[in-house]
Amino acid sequence: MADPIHQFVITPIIPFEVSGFDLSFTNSSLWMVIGGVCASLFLMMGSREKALVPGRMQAFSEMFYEFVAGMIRDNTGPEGRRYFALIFTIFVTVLMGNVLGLLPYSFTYTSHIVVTMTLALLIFFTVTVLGLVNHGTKFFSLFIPPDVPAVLLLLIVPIEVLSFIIRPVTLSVRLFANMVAGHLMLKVFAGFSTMVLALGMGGVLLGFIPMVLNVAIYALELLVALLQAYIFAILSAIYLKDTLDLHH
Amino acid sequence: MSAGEAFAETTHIIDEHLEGEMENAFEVIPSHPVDGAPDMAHAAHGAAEAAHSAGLPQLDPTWYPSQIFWLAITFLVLYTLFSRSILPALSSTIESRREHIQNDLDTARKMKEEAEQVHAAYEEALNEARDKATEFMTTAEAKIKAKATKKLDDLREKSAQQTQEAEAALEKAKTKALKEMDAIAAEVASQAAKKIVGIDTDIKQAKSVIDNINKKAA
Repeated sequence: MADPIHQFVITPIIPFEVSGFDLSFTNSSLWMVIGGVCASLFLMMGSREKALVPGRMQAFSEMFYEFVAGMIRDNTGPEGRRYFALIFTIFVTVLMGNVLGLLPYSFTYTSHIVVTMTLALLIFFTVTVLGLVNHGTKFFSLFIPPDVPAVLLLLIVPIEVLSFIIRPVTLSVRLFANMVAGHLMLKVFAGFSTMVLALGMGGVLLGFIPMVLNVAIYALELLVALLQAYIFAILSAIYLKDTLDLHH
Repeated sequence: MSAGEAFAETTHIIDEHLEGEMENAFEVIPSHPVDGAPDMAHAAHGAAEAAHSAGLPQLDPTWYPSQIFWLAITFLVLYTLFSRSILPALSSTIESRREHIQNDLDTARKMKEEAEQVHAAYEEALNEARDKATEFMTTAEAKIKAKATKKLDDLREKSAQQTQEAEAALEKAKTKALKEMDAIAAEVASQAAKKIVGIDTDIKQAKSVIDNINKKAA
């Protein structure tokens, strides 16, 4: 049976090192580039034609744009527009990693904790820095919910601080764990099929059962891929809202 | 097997593999002393792969710098592309479409208002015309009626006059005839008296006699 972990192994394609850091172009980098190129080509084709009545590509690009714009508007208010490009890029990066990862022989870069953690820390530091720049020390009132008795604040403030600090961890682990679990499950079920094949004729018939299950799981994983990208982007938007408006 | 035990075993396996690969790496380097760097990379890669076969490759920090580096590059390129070109283009297209639609809606509303005004004016004109027509009809009817009445009255008057005249003429003729009758009667009587009795009678006397008789009869 093929090792279900093997799909997460990184192999360098163009090895190189910069001042002691191994920055090789790996299969992970390859799929980041493929994802970026696919997304930008698609959106470029969709945004080039500025027809009043859009064609398919344009309609899709505009739908995508409106979807993200609507999500940001609903979660951060009209001022959230200034983070539009940031959230849009995060959404596209995560979406491409999740969806392209479902292609056979591809690599799911969002299944690596370092990638999801980097994105989550980007959000975390953006929120912290911009929050302090926009609100000064008033930003810390984020940890003091309004209308709470003073005694309870002793308990609530540490909880709020902890929940703020833990945000990048939950954000990154959620995506990472979902991707790893889904891909492991797909590989394990596929492995069942190949294992049963060894039984001969009966095995061939029996092998169809995990395969059919795998098709269903694949559909589920596609949903998870889309949903997790959406969740990552929407949580980024909600976190970024703290830099705009402290009254919640 | 509990989760804790599984974890302990996994780390144990990773340690074993790492040790093995370390030895392996030391073996490899001396055999190719000239091009050491790629061999180092190979060795590191080998170590990583060894770790993968036991634990999650995600927890192996060998490729962390590379992943962060390439993620940063692709992310920055995408961010620049999106924020500079694609998103403004999409936004302007959508905005111009919205404006276009809004303009069309405004024009439609204006045209509707104009049409309503025209309709109202038309209704007014129609009502006016109707009123005028009714008035005209009423006056015409009244005129005709008056004319007819007048003509009828004239006719009636004329006919009454004619009847009166005719009656008067008849009366006159009657009186005349009666008078003539008297004269004839007086002449007949005087001639009869002459023939029968043989006396010449005064016509005037006869007439007065007849007048007397007439008076007595009346």
